[in-house]
Amino acid sequence: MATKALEPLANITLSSAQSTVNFTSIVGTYRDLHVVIQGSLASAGSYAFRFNSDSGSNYARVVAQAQYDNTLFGGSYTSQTNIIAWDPNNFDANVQFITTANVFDYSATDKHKSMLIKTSGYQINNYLNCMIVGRWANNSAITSLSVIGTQNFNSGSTFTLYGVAA
Amino acid sequence: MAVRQLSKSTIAQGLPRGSKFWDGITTPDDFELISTTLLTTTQTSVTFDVTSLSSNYKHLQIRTVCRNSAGTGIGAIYMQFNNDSSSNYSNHNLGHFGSGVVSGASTNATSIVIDQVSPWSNQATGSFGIGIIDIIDAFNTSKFKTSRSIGGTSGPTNNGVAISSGNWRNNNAITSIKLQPFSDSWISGSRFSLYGIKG
Repeated sequence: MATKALEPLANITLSSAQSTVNFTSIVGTYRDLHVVIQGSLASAGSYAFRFNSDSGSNYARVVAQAQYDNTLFGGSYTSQTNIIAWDPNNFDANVQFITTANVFDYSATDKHKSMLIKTSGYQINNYLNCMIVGRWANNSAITSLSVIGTQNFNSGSTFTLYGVAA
Repeated sequence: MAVRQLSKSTIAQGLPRGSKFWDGITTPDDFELISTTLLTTTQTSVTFDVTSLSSNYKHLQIRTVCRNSAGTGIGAIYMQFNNDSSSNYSNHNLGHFGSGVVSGASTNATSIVIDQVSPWSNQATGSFGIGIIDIIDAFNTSKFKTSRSIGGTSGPTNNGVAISSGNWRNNNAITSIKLQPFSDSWISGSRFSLYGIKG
């Protein structure tokens, strides 16, 4: 029997600028997590994901990006303290971006946690598209997810967390 | 499961209200889980029978988490429809796998290739590849079948991320979807979930 697959779990809209958004007490009854972020930063910067407040060098990522000047960038990194949402450039202040990210098997305890991220942003002469696969080298179930900006997210930025059915 | 409203969504603001747009509260019901295959032992392929889905869904999505039982590097998932293993498929991909950003293409292939999503056994224990495969108009009998996928593996020994597109040159409605690695098997813990999307 078919099951509704996408359940909204939380929706945060910033009423004032802040640099970190936390989704906590995430229930373990879904298969994947789906995150949608739409907003902008108050100053030039970037943002990243972190799980279960783990700030250790336990993350890795691989990136492919296309930039406004037709430059293509690809790279891979290990021993990171988070999974960045785009790479390698910063967004300028007030550039609107959207990120969709999926964390697969987030509640499983037999594997590391992998994340698929797509970020797009547009400003005249400053648009880019980026896809990233990141990995948190930890078998623990994810119970919290943090979005951490190097600068404040502007008021009005939205962060939505969904559970994807198992 | 009841949906608890933790905060009032503002996503609907700025979007016209109507049946095709999410109001920020109601659980969307156009995207449904059909089945999940979670391997408890090694397995050489996974097949979904989708014959009964054509009356309720227009598109299909498959989410994958998998890892090979042997080998070195990162492989792909090979997808075939309706047991067709002839040279009726085409593929394109774009991504980073090794050096820089590269692209590739193949015509007259024997399957659709979802690249970089199936790491071989030399990767760190616990590292699985991930992917999302969308099959558009899966049951339409007036067009060839097209898939779009995105995924990759963060090894750490080998890494790759890619978007891939595939085409099956056949107007038949899809009745079965077979997924397999290049060789060997997928290990226990690998997972393949099928979703239907209404249209």
